[in-house]
Amino acid sequence: MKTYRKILIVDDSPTSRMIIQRCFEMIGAEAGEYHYAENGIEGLTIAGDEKEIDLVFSDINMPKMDGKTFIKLLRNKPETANIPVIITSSIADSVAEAELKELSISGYIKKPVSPEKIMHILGGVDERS
Amino acid sequence: MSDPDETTKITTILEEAVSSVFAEVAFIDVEKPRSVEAQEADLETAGKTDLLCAAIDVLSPLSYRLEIRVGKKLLDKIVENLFPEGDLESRKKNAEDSLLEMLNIIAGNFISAFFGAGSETQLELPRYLYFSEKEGGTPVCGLSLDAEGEPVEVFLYSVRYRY
Repeated sequence: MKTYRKILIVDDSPTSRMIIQRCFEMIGAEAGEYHYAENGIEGLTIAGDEKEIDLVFSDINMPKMDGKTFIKLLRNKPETANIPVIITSSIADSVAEAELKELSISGYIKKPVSPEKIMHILGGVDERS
Repeated sequence: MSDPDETTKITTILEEAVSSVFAEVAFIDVEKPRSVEAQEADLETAGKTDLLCAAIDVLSPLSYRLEIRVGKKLLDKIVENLFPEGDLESRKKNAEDSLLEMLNIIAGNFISAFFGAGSETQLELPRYLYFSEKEGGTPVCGLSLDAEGEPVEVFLYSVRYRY
Protein backbone atom coordinates (compact mmCIF):
# COMPACT_ATOMS: atom_id res chain seq x y z
CA MET A 1 0.00 0.00 0.00
CA LYS A 2 1.32 3.43 -0.97
CA THR A 3 2.39 5.93 1.68
CA TYR A 4 0.73 9.32 1.33
CA ARG A 5 2.37 12.55 2.39
CA LYS A 6 -0.70 14.58 3.29
CA ILE A 7 -4.34 13.59 3.31
CA LEU A 8 -7.17 16.10 3.40
CA ILE A 9 -10.54 14.99 4.79
CA VAL A 10 -13.40 17.38 4.02
CA ASP A 11 -16.52 16.60 6.02
CA ASP A 12 -18.69 18.67 8.35
CA SER A 13 -18.95 15.78 10.80
CA PRO A 14 -16.01 15.11 13.16
CA THR A 15 -17.41 11.59 13.53
CA SER A 16 -17.15 10.98 9.81
CA ARG A 17 -13.63 12.40 9.68
CA MET A 18 -12.58 10.08 12.50
CA ILE A 19 -14.16 7.03 10.81
CA ILE A 20 -12.40 7.76 7.50
CA GLN A 21 -9.02 8.20 9.17
CA ARG A 22 -9.48 5.07 11.28
CA CYS A 23 -10.51 2.95 8.27
CA PHE A 24 -7.56 4.31 6.30
CA GLU A 25 -5.16 3.29 9.07
CA MET A 26 -6.83 -0.11 9.51
CA ILE A 27 -5.90 -1.19 5.98
CA GLY A 28 -2.25 -0.44 6.67
CA ALA A 29 -2.11 2.71 4.53
CA GLU A 30 0.12 5.44 5.90
CA ALA A 31 -0.08 9.20 5.82
CA GLY A 32 2.52 11.70 6.99
CA GLU A 33 -0.14 14.20 8.02
CA TYR A 34 -3.91 14.48 8.16
CA HIS A 35 -5.65 17.78 7.51
CA TYR A 36 -9.32 18.37 8.20
CA ALA A 37 -11.88 20.78 6.76
CA GLU A 38 -15.52 21.26 7.73
CA ASN A 39 -16.69 22.40 4.29
CA GLY A 40 -15.54 23.10 0.73
CA ILE A 41 -14.33 26.63 1.49
CA GLU A 42 -11.99 25.41 4.21
CA GLY A 43 -10.97 22.51 1.98
CA LEU A 44 -9.91 24.84 -0.84
CA THR A 45 -7.90 27.00 1.55
CA ILE A 46 -6.03 24.00 2.95
CA ALA A 47 -5.50 22.45 -0.48
CA GLY A 48 -4.04 25.78 -1.66
CA ASP A 49 -1.84 26.36 1.41
CA GLU A 50 -0.53 22.83 1.88
CA LYS A 51 1.56 22.05 -1.16
CA GLU A 52 1.88 18.31 -0.88
CA ILE A 53 -1.66 16.99 -0.46
CA ASP A 54 -1.80 13.78 -2.44
CA LEU A 55 -5.27 12.47 -1.55
CA VAL A 56 -8.61 14.06 -0.66
CA PHE A 57 -11.70 12.49 0.87
CA SER A 58 -14.76 14.73 0.50
CA ASP A 59 -18.37 14.55 1.62
CA ILE A 60 -21.04 16.02 -0.69
CA ASN A 61 -23.73 17.41 1.59
CA MET A 62 -21.98 20.14 3.62
CA PRO A 63 -22.91 23.65 4.74
CA LYS A 64 -21.34 26.79 3.16
CA MET A 65 -19.87 24.93 0.16
CA ASP A 66 -20.88 21.44 -0.92
CA GLY A 67 -18.59 18.73 -2.23
CA LYS A 68 -19.47 19.17 -5.92
CA THR A 69 -18.57 22.87 -5.91
CA PHE A 70 -15.44 22.16 -3.90
CA ILE A 71 -14.18 19.62 -6.46
CA LYS A 72 -15.06 21.86 -9.42
CA LEU A 73 -13.01 24.69 -7.91
CA LEU A 74 -10.21 22.31 -6.95
CA ARG A 75 -10.00 21.16 -10.57
CA ASN A 76 -9.89 24.77 -11.83
CA LYS A 77 -6.57 25.49 -10.12
CA PRO A 78 -3.51 24.03 -11.88
CA GLU A 79 -1.75 23.26 -8.58
CA THR A 80 -4.68 21.20 -7.23
CA ALA A 81 -6.25 19.99 -10.48
CA ASN A 82 -4.71 16.52 -10.38
CA ILE A 83 -5.13 15.58 -6.70
CA PRO A 84 -7.05 12.28 -6.46
CA VAL A 85 -10.44 12.82 -4.79
CA ILE A 86 -12.59 10.13 -3.20
CA ILE A 87 -16.20 11.04 -2.50
CA THR A 88 -17.89 9.79 0.65
CA SER A 89 -21.65 10.23 0.76
CA SER A 90 -24.54 8.78 2.72
CA ILE A 91 -26.49 8.38 -0.52
CA ALA A 92 -25.84 6.00 -3.38
CA ASP A 93 -26.63 8.48 -6.13
CA SER A 94 -25.69 7.21 -9.57
CA VAL A 95 -26.62 10.55 -11.17
CA ALA A 96 -24.34 12.50 -8.83
CA GLU A 97 -21.65 9.87 -9.24
CA ALA A 98 -21.76 10.21 -13.04
CA GLU A 99 -21.57 14.02 -12.77
CA LEU A 100 -18.65 13.76 -10.38
CA LYS A 101 -16.82 11.31 -12.62
CA GLU A 102 -16.75 14.07 -15.23
CA LEU A 103 -14.67 15.94 -12.65
CA SER A 104 -12.29 12.99 -12.58
CA ILE A 105 -13.03 11.74 -9.09
CA SER A 106 -11.15 8.58 -8.19
CA GLY A 107 -14.02 6.86 -6.43
CA TYR A 108 -17.39 7.14 -4.72
CA ILE A 109 -17.93 5.50 -1.33
CA LYS A 110 -21.39 5.21 0.13
CA LYS A 111 -21.28 5.74 3.90
CA PRO A 112 -20.74 4.06 6.23
CA VAL A 113 -17.13 4.09 5.14
CA SER A 114 -15.37 0.78 5.82
CA PRO A 115 -11.74 -0.36 5.49
CA GLU A 116 -12.77 -2.73 2.65
CA LYS A 117 -14.43 0.05 0.64
CA ILE A 118 -11.39 2.32 1.02
CA MET A 119 -9.00 -0.47 0.11
CA HIS A 120 -10.98 -1.25 -3.03
CA ILE A 121 -10.94 2.38 -4.21
CA LEU A 122 -7.33 3.00 -3.24
CA GLY A 123 -6.24 0.00 -5.29
CA GLY A 124 -7.45 1.86 -8.39
CA VAL A 125 -5.93 5.17 -7.28
CA ASP A 126 -2.52 3.60 -6.68
CA GLU A 127 -2.59 1.85 -10.04
CA ARG A 128 -3.25 5.11 -11.86
CA SER A 129 -0.60 7.13 -10.01
CA MET B 1 -46.87 5.20 1.48
CA SER B 2 -50.22 3.96 2.83
CA ASP B 3 -50.35 0.47 1.29
CA PRO B 4 -49.85 -2.13 4.11
CA ASP B 5 -47.43 -4.13 1.94
CA GLU B 6 -45.44 -1.02 1.27
CA THR B 7 -45.41 -0.13 4.99
CA THR B 8 -44.01 -3.58 5.76
CA LYS B 9 -41.35 -3.12 3.09
CA ILE B 10 -40.45 0.33 4.43
CA THR B 11 -40.24 -1.01 7.98
CA THR B 12 -37.96 -3.87 6.93
CA ILE B 13 -35.64 -1.62 4.92
CA LEU B 14 -35.51 0.97 7.70
CA GLU B 15 -34.72 -1.67 10.30
CA GLU B 16 -31.90 -3.02 8.11
CA ALA B 17 -30.51 0.49 7.65
CA VAL B 18 -30.57 1.16 11.41
CA SER B 19 -28.99 -2.21 12.29
CA SER B 20 -26.21 -1.98 9.72
CA VAL B 21 -25.28 1.61 10.58
CA PHE B 22 -25.17 0.90 14.33
CA ALA B 23 -23.05 -2.20 13.67
CA GLU B 24 -20.66 -0.69 11.13
CA VAL B 25 -20.26 2.78 12.60
CA ALA B 26 -20.53 2.23 16.34
CA PHE B 27 -19.97 -1.55 16.64
CA ILE B 28 -23.28 -1.94 18.48
CA ASP B 29 -25.72 -4.75 17.75
CA VAL B 30 -29.33 -3.70 17.36
CA GLU B 31 -32.22 -6.14 17.47
CA LYS B 32 -35.91 -6.33 18.21
CA PRO B 33 -36.59 -5.84 21.93
CA ARG B 34 -37.68 -8.76 24.10
CA SER B 35 -40.59 -6.68 25.32
CA VAL B 36 -41.92 -3.56 23.61
CA GLU B 37 -43.69 -2.54 26.83
CA ALA B 38 -40.46 -2.71 28.83
CA GLN B 39 -38.70 -0.80 26.05
CA GLU B 40 -41.29 1.96 26.14
CA ALA B 41 -40.99 2.12 29.93
CA ASP B 42 -37.21 2.47 29.61
CA LEU B 43 -37.59 5.32 27.15
CA GLU B 44 -40.16 7.00 29.33
CA THR B 45 -37.72 6.85 32.23
CA ALA B 46 -34.94 8.17 30.02
CA GLY B 47 -37.29 10.89 28.80
CA LYS B 48 -37.52 12.30 32.27
CA THR B 49 -33.79 12.74 32.36
CA ASP B 50 -31.69 12.30 29.25
CA LEU B 51 -33.67 11.44 26.14
CA LEU B 52 -32.20 12.80 22.91
CA CYS B 53 -34.19 13.21 19.74
CA ALA B 54 -32.64 14.03 16.36
CA ALA B 55 -34.33 14.51 13.01
CA ILE B 56 -33.45 14.79 9.35
CA ASP B 57 -35.77 16.10 6.65
CA VAL B 58 -35.79 14.46 3.25
CA LEU B 59 -37.05 16.82 0.54
CA SER B 60 -36.70 14.55 -2.48
CA PRO B 61 -37.72 12.05 -3.88
CA LEU B 62 -40.51 12.31 -1.28
CA SER B 63 -41.01 14.75 1.56
CA TYR B 64 -40.63 13.11 4.92
CA ARG B 65 -38.84 13.23 8.23
CA LEU B 66 -36.79 10.57 9.95
CA GLU B 67 -36.44 10.80 13.72
CA ILE B 68 -34.27 8.87 16.12
CA ARG B 69 -34.61 8.77 19.92
CA VAL B 70 -31.96 7.40 22.23
CA GLY B 71 -31.07 7.73 25.88
CA LYS B 72 -27.85 9.42 27.00
CA LYS B 73 -26.44 6.06 28.13
CA LEU B 74 -26.59 4.71 24.58
CA LEU B 75 -25.08 7.89 23.17
CA ASP B 76 -22.21 7.58 25.67
CA LYS B 77 -21.64 4.01 24.49
CA ILE B 78 -21.63 5.11 20.83
CA VAL B 79 -19.09 7.85 21.51
CA GLU B 80 -16.91 5.53 23.59
CA ASN B 81 -16.78 3.08 20.68
CA LEU B 82 -16.19 5.77 18.08
CA PHE B 83 -13.55 7.70 19.97
CA PRO B 84 -11.85 5.11 22.19
CA GLU B 85 -8.76 7.23 22.71
CA GLY B 86 -10.50 10.54 23.30
CA ASP B 87 -10.53 12.22 26.68
CA LEU B 88 -13.77 13.08 28.43
CA GLU B 89 -13.78 16.63 27.07
CA SER B 90 -13.35 15.63 23.42
CA ARG B 91 -15.93 12.85 23.80
CA LYS B 92 -18.44 15.38 25.09
CA LYS B 93 -17.69 17.62 22.11
CA ASN B 94 -18.17 14.75 19.67
CA ALA B 95 -21.22 13.21 21.32
CA GLU B 96 -23.83 15.41 19.68
CA ASP B 97 -22.28 15.06 16.24
CA SER B 98 -22.13 11.27 16.47
CA LEU B 99 -25.89 10.81 16.69
CA LEU B 100 -26.55 13.34 13.91
CA GLU B 101 -24.03 11.67 11.59
CA MET B 102 -25.45 8.22 12.27
CA LEU B 103 -28.95 9.52 11.48
CA ASN B 104 -27.62 11.08 8.28
CA ILE B 105 -26.14 7.75 7.19
CA ILE B 106 -29.29 5.82 8.17
CA ALA B 107 -31.38 8.22 6.07
CA GLY B 108 -29.02 7.90 3.09
CA ASN B 109 -28.92 4.11 3.30
CA PHE B 110 -32.70 3.91 3.62
CA ILE B 111 -33.27 6.15 0.59
CA SER B 112 -30.74 4.27 -1.52
CA ALA B 113 -32.28 0.91 -0.63
CA PHE B 114 -35.91 1.99 -1.01
CA PHE B 115 -35.80 4.29 -4.04
CA GLY B 116 -32.72 2.92 -5.81
CA ALA B 117 -29.39 4.50 -6.55
CA GLY B 118 -30.59 6.53 -9.54
CA SER B 119 -33.19 8.69 -7.80
CA GLU B 120 -32.47 12.37 -7.30
CA THR B 121 -32.15 12.94 -3.57
CA GLN B 122 -32.20 16.03 -1.45
CA LEU B 123 -31.49 15.83 2.28
CA GLU B 124 -31.44 18.63 4.81
CA LEU B 125 -28.71 18.62 7.44
CA PRO B 126 -29.66 16.58 10.54
CA ARG B 127 -30.45 18.45 13.72
CA TYR B 128 -31.57 17.94 17.29
CA LEU B 129 -35.27 18.20 17.83
CA TYR B 130 -36.76 19.55 20.99
CA PHE B 131 -40.10 18.16 21.98
CA SER B 132 -41.56 21.65 22.17
CA GLU B 133 -40.88 22.18 18.45
CA LYS B 134 -42.36 18.86 17.34
CA GLU B 135 -44.31 19.37 14.15
CA GLY B 136 -47.14 17.32 12.78
CA GLY B 137 -46.69 14.70 10.12
CA THR B 138 -48.34 11.48 9.13
CA PRO B 139 -46.61 8.53 10.81
CA VAL B 140 -45.47 5.98 8.24
CA CYS B 141 -43.68 3.55 10.49
CA GLY B 142 -41.98 3.31 13.86
CA LEU B 143 -39.27 1.00 15.14
CA SER B 144 -38.66 0.17 18.76
CA LEU B 145 -35.29 -1.59 19.01
CA ASP B 146 -32.80 -2.82 21.56
CA ALA B 147 -29.20 -1.65 21.21
CA GLU B 148 -27.30 -3.98 23.53
CA GLY B 149 -29.68 -3.36 26.39
CA GLU B 150 -30.42 0.29 25.62
CA PRO B 151 -33.59 1.41 23.85
CA VAL B 152 -33.54 3.13 20.47
CA GLU B 153 -36.60 4.31 18.57
CA VAL B 154 -36.81 5.40 14.95
CA PHE B 155 -39.84 7.01 13.33
CA LEU B 156 -40.62 7.91 9.75
CA TYR B 157 -43.20 10.65 9.10
CA SER B 158 -44.63 11.76 5.82
CA VAL B 159 -44.58 15.54 5.79
CA ARG B 160 -46.52 17.26 3.02
CA TYR B 161 -46.64 20.74 1.52
CA ARG B 162 -43.90 22.13 3.66
CA TYR B 163 -41.67 23.27 0.79
